[in-house]
Amino acid sequence: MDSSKNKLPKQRYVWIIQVFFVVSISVLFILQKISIISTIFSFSVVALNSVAFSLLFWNFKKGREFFDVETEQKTKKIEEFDKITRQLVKRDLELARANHRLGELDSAKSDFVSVAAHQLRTPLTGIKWSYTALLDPDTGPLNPEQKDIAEKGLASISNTIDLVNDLLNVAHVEEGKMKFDIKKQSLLPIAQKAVDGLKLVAEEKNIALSVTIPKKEGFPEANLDAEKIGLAITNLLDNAIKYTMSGGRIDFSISQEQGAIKIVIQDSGIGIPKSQKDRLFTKFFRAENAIGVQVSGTGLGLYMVKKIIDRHGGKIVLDSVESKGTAFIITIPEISATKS
Amino acid sequence: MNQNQTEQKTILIVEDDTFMGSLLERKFKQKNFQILRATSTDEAKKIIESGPVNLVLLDIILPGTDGVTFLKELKLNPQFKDIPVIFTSNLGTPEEIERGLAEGAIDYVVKAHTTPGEIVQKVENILGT
Repeated sequence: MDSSKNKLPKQRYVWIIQVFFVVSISVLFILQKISIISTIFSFSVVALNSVAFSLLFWNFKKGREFFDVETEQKTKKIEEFDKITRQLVKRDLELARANHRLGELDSAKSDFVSVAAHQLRTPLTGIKWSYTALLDPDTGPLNPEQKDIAEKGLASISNTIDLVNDLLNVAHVEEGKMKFDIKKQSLLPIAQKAVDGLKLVAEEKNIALSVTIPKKEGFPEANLDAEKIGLAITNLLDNAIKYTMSGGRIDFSISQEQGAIKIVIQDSGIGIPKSQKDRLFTKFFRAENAIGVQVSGTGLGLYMVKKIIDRHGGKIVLDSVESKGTAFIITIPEISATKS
Repeated sequence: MNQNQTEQKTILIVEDDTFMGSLLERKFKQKNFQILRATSTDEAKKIIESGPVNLVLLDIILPGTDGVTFLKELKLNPQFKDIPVIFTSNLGTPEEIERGLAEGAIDYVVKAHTTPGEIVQKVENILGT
């Protein structure tokens, strides 16, 4: 930038005016039109003017140069700032779009899980109802072999439906969409219902199921989601039945211990290998010996159980010896009568 | 109470899966119910308008208008609003069940978790048969 060139003509005009002024004063003095004092005074004024103009132009030039440099720097900074602002705005827009897209994908995933579960359940229901109809005494008698086949088919399809339910439940837990309706209530009827639902299954497998549930009166309540806690107990009991051989034993008990309600589900089943205990509550994990006994399974049940117990502020631990059996011990904080 | 000695109750099964519809029909007929079948809510509407129905078993995902919308319409009609409706669907998240019941269904059954026999029992309890 060379802005000083533009100011040279203006400086020239000033000098020309001053020279003209000096010449005029000199002429007037020569022609004796003005006195020596007036002439000296006039020259002094011109000289001061010259100094003043010189200083003024010098300063102006320097100032302008300084200003120009500063302006240039400022302009650069403003341009950089503009550039950064534009980039920020662009990124903000990109983030907003990505966020919106994620929201859409999340919603699509949720819809997909719901629709997939529905689409899978529908044909499975058709098969389940068919076996049920075949086994229905109203339909007519089956010979023992036919009955055995139909019962096995029904058990198999019921198991597959459970797997679909597990997948759906976990998908809900993962999305944080599993709603918990936690209320102060007694665990005892919830546990009883869960046990009752599986008594027949244990009996059919010739497993002795011992149940110790105390009387409701005087037993502390807890903050519970009845459905979810029921699901967790059912899941653990169902596992115990699955992985205990015919002729084995399961002990289910509820007791009170140090400000907590304690649920113990102990079986004489296949146990869990020591090296795999740490991974038992992780998603999709299935112990090697469990796969040997029950091929189908998602490895999601215990993961979901732990999530449910965690949500109740409780703890779940296990004590297991391979080939001897497993005990799952759940503790849930009780609400003492005085706290209510 | 012997069903044969009482007035035969009419159940409308709205189910687009004809096989499952037939299994339900079979079980209800064994218990002496009269069964009407529809595979869409449009058909169901015509059936309800043409004669008395004591209870509706209503699927949710159906061709055309879905079951929830159909129930809303039914509840707005003074002539049909008192007909008990049970949702029979394989949509089974707590939110879906909650929504179905909030629209005025008397019960919600996830088909995969039940059997036709259990559905018949529910209907008998509701109708007091």
